[in-house]
Amino acid sequence: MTALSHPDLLDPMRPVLVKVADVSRETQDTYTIATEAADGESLPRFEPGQFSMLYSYGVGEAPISISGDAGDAGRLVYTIRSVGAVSKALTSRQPGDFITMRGPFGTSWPVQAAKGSDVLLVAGGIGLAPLRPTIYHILRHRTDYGRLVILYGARSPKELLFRKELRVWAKFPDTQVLTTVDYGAPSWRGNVGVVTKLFRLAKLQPERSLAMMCGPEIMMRLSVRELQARKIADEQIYLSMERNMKCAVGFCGHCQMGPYFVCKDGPVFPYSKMRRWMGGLREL
Amino acid sequence: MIGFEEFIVATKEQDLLKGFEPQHLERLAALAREIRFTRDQIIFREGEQHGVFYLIVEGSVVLEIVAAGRSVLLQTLHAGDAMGWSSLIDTNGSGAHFEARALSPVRALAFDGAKLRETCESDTAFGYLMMKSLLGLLTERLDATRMQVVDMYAPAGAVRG
Repeated sequence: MTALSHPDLLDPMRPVLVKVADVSRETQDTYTIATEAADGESLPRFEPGQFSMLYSYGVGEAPISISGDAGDAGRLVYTIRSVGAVSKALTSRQPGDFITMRGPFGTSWPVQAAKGSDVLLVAGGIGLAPLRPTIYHILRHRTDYGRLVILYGARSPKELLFRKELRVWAKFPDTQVLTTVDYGAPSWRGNVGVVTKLFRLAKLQPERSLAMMCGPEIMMRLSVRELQARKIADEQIYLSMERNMKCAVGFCGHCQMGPYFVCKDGPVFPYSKMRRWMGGLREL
Repeated sequence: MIGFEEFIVATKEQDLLKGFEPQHLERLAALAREIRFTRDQIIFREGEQHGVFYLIVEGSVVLEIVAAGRSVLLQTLHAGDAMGWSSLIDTNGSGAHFEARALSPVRALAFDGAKLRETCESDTAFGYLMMKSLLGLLTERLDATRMQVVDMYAPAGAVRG
């Protein structure tokens, strides 16, 4: 895992102006926005799993995971669920509008360490967005990795993100994409039930597998149990944690989790570091 | 009826039977018959006294219930799952709790619920194992239902995208 920062960004608290290049609607309340540098220069590079602080003038700032392709140097892409004042303001931007950005911040998914391994990605709801850059990376370097299994759960079929891409990803060799929903209309022919029910259908070799997961904490806790039952060691499991991040550089303490600041020491953690702190702690 | 070896092959993915000794599996195999369902075939309806316990060997089944005049899908079952567990307990005539529909061609092992109950009562070691396994199945289903009730993907708290 690496912690990167904008090479030109001397002060991580200083925002950079970026232009909204494209906005697309993913679901009823979730949008993907692509941003480009406002000054015509390139945007900072990022590693899959990192996030930026996006600021909408006069409204506020929020941590947003990068959901685009790390190989696309010209753009930073974010998938945002419109649930609060800041996310509503960000998702109502139109191409040509400006917002500001700090980052990218935080640790990344262990895509280098996963080389040669089977990779299991477990996502719930909006949690597929931070994992999408990893999927792009693995599919671009397909022969560097073993089997790729993506397990994805959402509330209902219409709330599944990146539906077209899920179908495309499933066609890659040695790639298994399984989705499930909590509630399905009678016309739905896919899986219904919690994402942990999909583990039995995943074809993996536990001893050579590495798992990465992002979603509601309760989903990750139960998924860890499933992985442990399949003899996948805690050191082979990585999680992306979500806390109320404000400064993004470990100053303010809003996102503290035990001895860690999620913004600086995370958001991606090996489960071996997180197991003591998951479950019992309520967010401050 | 199916042969014992065939039964062992068909049930190798069954979580329910983990912990069963060969003599228990033999008792169970003696009660099993193979059954197949076509895609979209209704396996049992809500309230129906079908009296059959199933172990799915191949294919997928969806459990559904009618609520407010429309069908609601509750859970999808796959090879290795069991269904029709209400046939193993005294339901006081209430019958099946859900409707089960084949999502794909399904191959299953079917057990007459009354005969299976009789075997559990006459061979209490077997019966205890069966009920203990069934309790594990029910716990798993209850956990899954609780997770759905929690509505964990709800927008609240989903700030980081």
